[in-house]
Amino acid sequence: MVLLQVLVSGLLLGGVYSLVSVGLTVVFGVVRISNFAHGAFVMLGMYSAYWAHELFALDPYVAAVVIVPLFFLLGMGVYQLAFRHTIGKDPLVQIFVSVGLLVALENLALFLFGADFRTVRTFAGQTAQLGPVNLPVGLLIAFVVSLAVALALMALIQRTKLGRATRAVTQDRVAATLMGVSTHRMYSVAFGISIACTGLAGSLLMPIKAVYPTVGTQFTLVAFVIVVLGGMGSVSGALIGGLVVGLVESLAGYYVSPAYQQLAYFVVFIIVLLARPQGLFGSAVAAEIGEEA
Amino acid sequence: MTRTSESSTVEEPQTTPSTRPDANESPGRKIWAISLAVLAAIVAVIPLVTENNYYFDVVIGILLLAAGGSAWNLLGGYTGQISLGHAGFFGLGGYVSVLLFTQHGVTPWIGIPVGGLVAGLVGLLIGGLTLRLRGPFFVLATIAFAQVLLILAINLDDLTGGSPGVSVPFKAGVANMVFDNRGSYVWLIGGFLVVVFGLTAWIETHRLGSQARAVRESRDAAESLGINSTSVKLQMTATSSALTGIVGGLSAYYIAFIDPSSSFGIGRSIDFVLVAIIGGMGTVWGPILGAILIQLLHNELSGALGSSGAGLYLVVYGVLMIVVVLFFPKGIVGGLDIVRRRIRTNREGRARV
Amino acid sequence: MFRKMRWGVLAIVVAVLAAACGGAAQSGGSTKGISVVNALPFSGGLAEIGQDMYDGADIARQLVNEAGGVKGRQVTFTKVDAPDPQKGVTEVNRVISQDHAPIVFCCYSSSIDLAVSPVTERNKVVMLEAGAIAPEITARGFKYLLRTQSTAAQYAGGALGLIKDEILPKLKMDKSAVSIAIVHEQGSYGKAYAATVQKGVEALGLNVVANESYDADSTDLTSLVLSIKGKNPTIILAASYTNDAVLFFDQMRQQGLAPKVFIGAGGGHSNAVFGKSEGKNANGVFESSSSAHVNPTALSSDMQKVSEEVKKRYTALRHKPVSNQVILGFSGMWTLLKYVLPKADDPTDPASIMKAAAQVNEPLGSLPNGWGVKFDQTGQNTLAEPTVQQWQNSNLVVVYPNKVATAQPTMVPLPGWNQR
Repeated sequence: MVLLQVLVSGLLLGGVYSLVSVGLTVVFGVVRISNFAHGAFVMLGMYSAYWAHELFALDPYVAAVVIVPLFFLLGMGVYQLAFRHTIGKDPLVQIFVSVGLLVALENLALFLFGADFRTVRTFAGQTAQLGPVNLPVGLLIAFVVSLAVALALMALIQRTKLGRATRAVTQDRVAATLMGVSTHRMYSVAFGISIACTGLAGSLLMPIKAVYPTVGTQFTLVAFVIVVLGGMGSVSGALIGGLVVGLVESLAGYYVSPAYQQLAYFVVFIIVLLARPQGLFGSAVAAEIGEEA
Repeated sequence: MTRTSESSTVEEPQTTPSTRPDANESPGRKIWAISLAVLAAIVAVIPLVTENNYYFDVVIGILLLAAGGSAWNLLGGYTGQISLGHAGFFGLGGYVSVLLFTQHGVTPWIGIPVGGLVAGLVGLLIGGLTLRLRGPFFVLATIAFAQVLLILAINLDDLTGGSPGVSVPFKAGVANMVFDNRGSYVWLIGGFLVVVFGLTAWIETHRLGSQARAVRESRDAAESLGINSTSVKLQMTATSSALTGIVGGLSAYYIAFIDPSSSFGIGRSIDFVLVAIIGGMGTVWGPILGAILIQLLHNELSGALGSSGAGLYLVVYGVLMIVVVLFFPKGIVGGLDIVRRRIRTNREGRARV
Repeated sequence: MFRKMRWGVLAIVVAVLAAACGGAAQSGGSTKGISVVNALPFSGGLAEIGQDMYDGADIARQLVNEAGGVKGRQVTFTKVDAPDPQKGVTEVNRVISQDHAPIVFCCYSSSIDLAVSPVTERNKVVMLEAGAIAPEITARGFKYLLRTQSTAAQYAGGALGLIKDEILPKLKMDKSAVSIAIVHEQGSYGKAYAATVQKGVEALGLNVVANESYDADSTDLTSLVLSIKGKNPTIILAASYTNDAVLFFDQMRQQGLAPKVFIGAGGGHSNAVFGKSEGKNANGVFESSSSAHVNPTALSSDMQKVSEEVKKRYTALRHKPVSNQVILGFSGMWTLLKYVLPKADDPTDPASIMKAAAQVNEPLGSLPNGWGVKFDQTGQNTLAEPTVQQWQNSNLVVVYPNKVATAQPTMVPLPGWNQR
């Protein structure tokens, strides 16, 4: 019975991880940028939801309706202002622009809001019972939304013109450019989608987790692990990778020791990386830049 | 390779970072011998001209950053393997040397080289496993490696003392590498930087350096020239990680304290890469110039803005980091090259008139 | 475009550096005043606590200056950011050399303290610690170190006294049936507390069934909760920061882990956000550290007035009630400015300050949390007696020991979730 609960809790946690990772993988797949500031945007999303609740008494789930489009624009803005100028430059330049962004954003939050831990409590704090299994409502909602977002993004990429262009860029950048796909517009949209996802993740996390300026750092590394496990640039891979990492963390925490929760997924990550660098599910991006021939 | 880049445009240079004297000409070596002497002279003189502990601390901060950045540069700058896990080697070297002293009474003069050796061997092992990974995969593998060491250092209390860290007993004496006069640390750590500088210059002007650069530009092309790329990468990894381990040991003895999160944390790895990229990757002077700029910028910003609102100085620091990296992707050395080239073209222009 | 802008950017960087150098050069120490360096974590994960400590210390400075200063000399503060050991060392070195300040008020975190205190010791500058509890800090024979804060052993003493005097009688259980689980964050604070408290409970003859550490930044602690639930402990002893205190307690509720007693150790369980987040479910939770709300009768009459004034000023400043950390910061600085420095022949000379500190003997009730001040040879305050508070009706009230209590311990054993 406990095993069942451990598994379910792991999956629910994995849902949160997937939600954060989906945005990262989109930017990675389309723009080829490792955005180390990704978690800082989740932090901004949480603060947005917090202030929407404090100032306008909006439930974070309702606030998400406003936050997501705003974060889409924010993502495009961040691309135009900063990342646009890194295209074609050394990957390290891209990494360090994102590290600078991370330092600036975390400390901007500290400067503006102080270091206080802030929480929002709503109905999402309750727990649903399903037979012997306890399902925290907030996590359950995050899990369901995470699935929905991943499916919607996959549909977007499969079905729409924009999505086809994105896919073309993801799979073969040179050919896509030759075919007349405007890469800057595409990259800008990818950043918009990615940051919109962090806005959504922030809104969904706010009812179940305290926000403080450095809250995002714990998500950044785990999201990178998931993105690689799932195959860089693959939305379905990020979804499944997130669930796998959630399960690994939960099982290791229970059967090994809570102190080694994070160790477990780093070890799994290293093993996968060495054995199958294209990720558990493979992807065109990984094939392009992954292991040397 | 270096010759072709001279003729390429400034705005979009090829992946070669800068122009350098040809690797096999002796004038190049002479220049480096002079540079080495200049650096050694600067280090030797500093403790003689000031007794201010703050200046010593800033200088030592710069020396440690410069040595760490130069060590990273061998692998990241010259060989093109971008590691964000050098904190792992730094922490290993630090912990090995400190624990050898506190638990077995081994003098740091032996302990620190042993720490470097351990870091080098681990680097060889990790390198053997991960060097075939490319781009972000290699970057993330190195991050994961340092994170694993961080978690182990925190939780293997019996061995490491856990998260509270370990203090080096404050007993002044040359044998303990604990000096009352901070100027001695400038000589000690500066001396090590001179060694790293000399080694980098040696590699730069010898075959290993040109092989590493060839591997960085194109592994396939390098192999077709008969270069064993795996061997080159492993040599550079072992050197880089061993030197980083020694930096870790020196740092631990200078601060007289070591703890898991500031040794193995990702912030440490980022610092080393940052000074190399700001100064100019794959250049001998780059990490040193970068370390000077970063340390001064950070100290002065926190001194000037530290009391005017929590975090404000770090906001400015972060924004400056973005701006500098965006506008000077080739670092200070790259920027100086542009100046030099512009002066030269001006002169040539005038000569033609 | 980029090429042209490059030089503009370079000019900006140089200008910022130059301006910063100029600004830093001007901030020299004045000869007339007494300069105290505040080196606390103002950024990073411990920033909330660092700010609290500083606010408390600054209120002490204001009160002293308004009353004419120390021997007629005004006290000035320099603030430096010490978010981790390395930066703490650099910053303290910088400020000691530039300002020639004789006193450094530092560091809250045990790791930062262990790294910074060798710097102050080497420079023969007084280090005053008002937050860190690791026993090692005062165990190194340093001559220029003072700690007003309790040690981990003293904190643990509060929880142990409470268990022995109040909880065991109320539980009416056989000692052999009482089981204890200890959960703690894996930093120096959690580890120091867990190690001492485990020895203590075992000395009481109680059975420790689990002692688990975790990362305070965790996103999920369900596995820990489930593994503790499997051991079904009577009492849970926790040492947590804020994020993890709230998270662990939430997930205890979600998974139905219901111990008969829950005792925290300052940190997150004494933070107002814990009460706000957990609502009625927080009621009944104990925390053993120090308190801003001891019974006024336990304070000297002077301190009663001062304590009220501190609370008033803090609330006016931050619009929230004082936390333990605010009071810890205040107590450290108040001890220095009010009890130590006036006794020193030269309040800017470290040796003279340490000589004065050795003579201080202020009885219990001389600080807002009911503590007194008497330093032993290692510089440790021996009159930092632990206080246990309990969440009652969504407020923290002092319940132990009796002489400082404002209320009786209740809700032992804890009622079920949602019945509090």
